[in-house]
Amino acid sequence: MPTITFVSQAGRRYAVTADHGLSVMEIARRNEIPGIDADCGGNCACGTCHVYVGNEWIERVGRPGPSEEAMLEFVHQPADTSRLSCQITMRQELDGLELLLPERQGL
Amino acid sequence: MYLFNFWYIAGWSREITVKPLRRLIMGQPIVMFRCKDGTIAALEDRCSHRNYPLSKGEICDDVIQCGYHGLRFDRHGACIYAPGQDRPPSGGNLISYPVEERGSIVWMWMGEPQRADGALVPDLSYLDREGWTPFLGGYIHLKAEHTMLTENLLDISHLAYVHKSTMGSTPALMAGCDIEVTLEPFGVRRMTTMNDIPTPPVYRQSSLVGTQIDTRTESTMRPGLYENNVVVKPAGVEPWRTKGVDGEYPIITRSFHGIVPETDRSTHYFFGGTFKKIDVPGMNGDQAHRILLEDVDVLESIQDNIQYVGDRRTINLRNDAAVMQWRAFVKRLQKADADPRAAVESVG
Repeated sequence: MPTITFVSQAGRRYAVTADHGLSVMEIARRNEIPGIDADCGGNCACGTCHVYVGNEWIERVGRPGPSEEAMLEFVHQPADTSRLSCQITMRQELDGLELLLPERQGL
Repeated sequence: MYLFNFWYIAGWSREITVKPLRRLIMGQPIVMFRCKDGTIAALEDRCSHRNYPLSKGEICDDVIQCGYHGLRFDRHGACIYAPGQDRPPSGGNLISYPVEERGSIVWMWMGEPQRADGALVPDLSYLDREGWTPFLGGYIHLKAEHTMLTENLLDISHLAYVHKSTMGSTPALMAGCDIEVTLEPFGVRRMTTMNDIPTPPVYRQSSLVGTQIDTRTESTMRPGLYENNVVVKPAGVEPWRTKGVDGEYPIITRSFHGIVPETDRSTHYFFGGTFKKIDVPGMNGDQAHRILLEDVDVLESIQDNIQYVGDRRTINLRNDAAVMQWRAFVKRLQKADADPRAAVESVG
């Protein structure tokens, strides 16, 4: 089974099963990962499903498109490898992905 | 917060006569009057002697005379006469605002005058197309901050609630419509498509569509101006032939909304539009005015509420992508010092 591990700022690890084709946000919500709010339900419109992708994963995950890049200007403490998890689709090459959760969501 | 370096609608042509008209724009009192050659002068509305509004004075031969002590200013704002003095006071010149008149609209440049380029005036020439039925001259004094109006126009999911007796249809179908938002060099573009929705009340009397419609709207927002291009066809009869709104449809409506900050709590709301092939009686500027008053009521209530809840967190939903992309656009524009050319580079 493919997995994703979400890591909180306090270092707590949440390893969950990740079905291919779902967005990473959807996977987080289905598994009730604390800290992924996803107010807009996955439309790149709210900026509350922010995650940090590790440097070792960022090339495989990919960089944000223009709309997502605009939304990332509003998140709390954005970084070079920030992504909105609703814009990442789970697939084979991301099996084992680790994502760091931000201190908080919100604009 | 104002974006100064853009053209804004300052009024309708018919409003500007040989009598002075005072209008506050972006917190700046401005006096406008029409000169003998037909062009418009726009100066700061104060005498440089004691700040009495020049608009309370008189105009003679393109010169405005202060009603307090009789100082005179030419159409460019130069102080040319002070009673009892041989020479006019050299430090008394006023700010003059660049103006462009296009069709029946008066545009004003609120930023640095050397950046005022007439080629940047938004093109609303579609209002003059032959065979269409235009409605012009709409104005509402909105007692709410301009960004609220901008964001209200960018948001379509309120239609089913605020405008339920006019433009609304089934709420879930409207809020769940297909929506595409693009960040453009000039601002934001939004395309919404709603298929097979119950015909909104405004179109029910039309023989051109039935009880269910397909409708598509392309909208653009740039600083100070929102434009809508709406096409409507009977539901399901033919598929959409293009990706956008080009082509022939039973009902086509274009409208524009001038969003002009007056103060940080009030906005001049200018609007107009044009219909192609509309067969609904009473579908005109008055009706547009009535529909917009429904928004005004909402926005003024929010403005009043802000004093109590302004620091509370608000959330953003599915249909707020256009609002959020607009906020990002404004943020980048401010970074680029409100220079439209610089913004093009940073966005592109």
